[in-house]
Amino acid sequence: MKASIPAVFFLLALSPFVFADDNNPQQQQQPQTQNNKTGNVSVKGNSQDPKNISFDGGIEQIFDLENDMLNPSDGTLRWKGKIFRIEDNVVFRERFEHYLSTPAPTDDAAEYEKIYNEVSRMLDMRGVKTRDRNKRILEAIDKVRELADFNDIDGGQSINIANVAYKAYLNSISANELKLHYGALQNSKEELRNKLDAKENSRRYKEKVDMGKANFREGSNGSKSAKIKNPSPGTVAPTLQQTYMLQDLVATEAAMKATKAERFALEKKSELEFQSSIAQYTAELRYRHAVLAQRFYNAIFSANARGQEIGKKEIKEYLPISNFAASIETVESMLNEAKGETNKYIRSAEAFYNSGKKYHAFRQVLNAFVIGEHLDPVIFYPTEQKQEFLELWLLCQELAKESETRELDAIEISLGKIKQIAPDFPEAEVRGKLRAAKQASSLEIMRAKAAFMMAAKQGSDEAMNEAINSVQETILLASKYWPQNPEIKELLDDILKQGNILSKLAPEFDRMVEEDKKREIFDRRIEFTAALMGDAERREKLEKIISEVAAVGMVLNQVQAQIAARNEYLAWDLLAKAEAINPEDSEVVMAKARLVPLVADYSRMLTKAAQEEEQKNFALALKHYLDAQKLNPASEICSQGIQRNAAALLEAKTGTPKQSDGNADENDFDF
Amino acid sequence: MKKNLAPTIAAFALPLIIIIGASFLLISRSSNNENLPAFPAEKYSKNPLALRGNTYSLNAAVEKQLAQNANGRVLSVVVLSKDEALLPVFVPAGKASNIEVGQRMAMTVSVDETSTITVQSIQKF
Repeated sequence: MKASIPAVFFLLALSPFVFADDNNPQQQQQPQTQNNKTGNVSVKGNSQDPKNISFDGGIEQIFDLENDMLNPSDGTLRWKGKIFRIEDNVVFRERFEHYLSTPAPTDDAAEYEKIYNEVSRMLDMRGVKTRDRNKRILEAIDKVRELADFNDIDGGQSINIANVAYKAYLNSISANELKLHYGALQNSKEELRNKLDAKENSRRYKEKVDMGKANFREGSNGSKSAKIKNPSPGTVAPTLQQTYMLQDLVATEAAMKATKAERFALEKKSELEFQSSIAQYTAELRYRHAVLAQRFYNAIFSANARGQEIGKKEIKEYLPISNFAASIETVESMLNEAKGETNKYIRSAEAFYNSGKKYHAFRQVLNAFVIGEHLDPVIFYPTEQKQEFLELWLLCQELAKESETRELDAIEISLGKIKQIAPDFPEAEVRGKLRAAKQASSLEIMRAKAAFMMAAKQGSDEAMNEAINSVQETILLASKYWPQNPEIKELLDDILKQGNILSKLAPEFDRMVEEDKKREIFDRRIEFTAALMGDAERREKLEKIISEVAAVGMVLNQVQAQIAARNEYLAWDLLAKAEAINPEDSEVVMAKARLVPLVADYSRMLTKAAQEEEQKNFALALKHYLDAQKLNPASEICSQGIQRNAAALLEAKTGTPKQSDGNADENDFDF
Repeated sequence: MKKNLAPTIAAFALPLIIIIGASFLLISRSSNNENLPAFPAEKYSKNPLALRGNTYSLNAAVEKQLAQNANGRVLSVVVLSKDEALLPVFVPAGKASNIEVGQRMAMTVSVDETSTITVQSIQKF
């Protein structure tokens, strides 16, 4: 596990160097770079071609991304062959910064550990007689509350465990009572059944005797046809007493079923609640509490072999491994392993720090934090070292931001600062890549200059136009590697000096403006920028067009993001924004056409609302906006439409404008 | 003996008066709205012109206050029916007091020439 999170962030931040803007056809023409783990500049084709130089291979090699613990793209952490899902990286980074900036606690860790172990011992029910178990559990619940006094270490979580355990304990007592009640009901059912049988036998016997007597009488009367009759079962109605007894029996059976169901529900509910606590602690990486909760669980439910039912899905999600069977025992073994691993990282961090390798030490602390944020070795890590790491961390963040904006000079300065704090920071190759990027940018400029000079020598319009096209391509490429390259401005100045370009491009620019070909002007912006540099009026128009098309482009990117996130209605709202900037923009029109089938109902409502508003039917406009908002509650268009039309309706009905909202809470109002 | 009779009569009479009063209120309230058809929320969305000039009963809960001034308020209400349609209603000042979000109301409403749903009377329930 050589890699680190800042390394990954840094790589991500550097990605603009590598990946061309999808919206820019010029950039799409660039040769594709390959990920190369050899550390050499990775190219496809001619390695001498500066266009092929990229940062990815080198950076990956430096930071050994193959073994990276953290994958920021999906927020997973690879550890011990398992993949953990950690929270959003922004949240994680904030938590880590908070950790680094917080002094080590003053709680007595040894005392905490002592109490913790005592509770664990109390909950070990091996060899404990059944009658003593409840007493032991209650004592352990009392004891575990003491842990919450160590707030810095415990975070007050032990109180929650005590509460859940006590509740489960009470439920188990109630369940036992229900069990006894069930037994009593079963006894009375048996008793009733015996009585009923006795009554039935007695009745049948009596009936038989009566029948015998009757037969005898008939026989003595000389009736030859008389036959001895046997009473057939069920044909004789039971006595009143028997009926009552039968009723009692049915009622007892019903009560037994109800008691059984109640007991099952009570036990199950309590058990599942407990399991959910364990799952929660596991997900929050609170191993100590997860293990403690699990010990209580085992003690209360005698459930060493029971499987985790609740939180199974969450744990599965947390550990997305197809064959991972979530069970209490597996979780405990994983938690214990995490404790050992965290200790190892912290020991390693201390060793690195003592040998002056602060960057390596920082990475070890980061790894330990990712795995055991709430464990003692991490919590009690020395404050002074954490402060140094915080400085290092912040510099790494700065570096990442500079990489995003491709400020190569600033990156070099930041690298220098980092090196001062952590001499072991692997900067050499990064510097090499920076140099390569600068060279690549300069080479492009040189190529453009050469082409331009040749065209200027030839003096023909055709050659000049060709040169301008070539310059445009190369400037885009050069600025992709190094936007702040001072040579770019020099080149543009040189071009500007060739006065004839202005005279050729200005009419073309005017014609394109007249034809409203804004996107085409945008695509040729470098060319026009150079040509119109001395023409203030046209230059202003050009800048306006560039910012307009760029703004539409930004909105369209957001639209794509919303569509990808399945927020089609919000994407539609964004398209309306883009349309407001430039309704004729071809990409906006195409995007609308693609999206409209997905938001037909919503767009129809908005259209109707706009139509009614235009005709000053504010109530109807309001109705349509309310309906649309029901579909898309986050819609700014809807909420603005509602506000606007409600105010207009009120004014139309009362003749006075609406009162300002002020700070009044609209959810609680009086008339 | 007479002294003992008075509290007994009072004990019986007071609840009786309350029950009669409550029944009267209920009957009068239901009689207000019973004669009116329920507001056709779906028709209002599809063909609001057809409802102009009509009066309806509308049972709804207050969802939000959208705008207000000294002469009235515009509310969005959720119709207490299966489809829970949202409607904007205009409540002229003085038609109700102390209405809060979530408050359920039985209203008499009319649809005017601008298709605005205007509240004529409100009773909470």
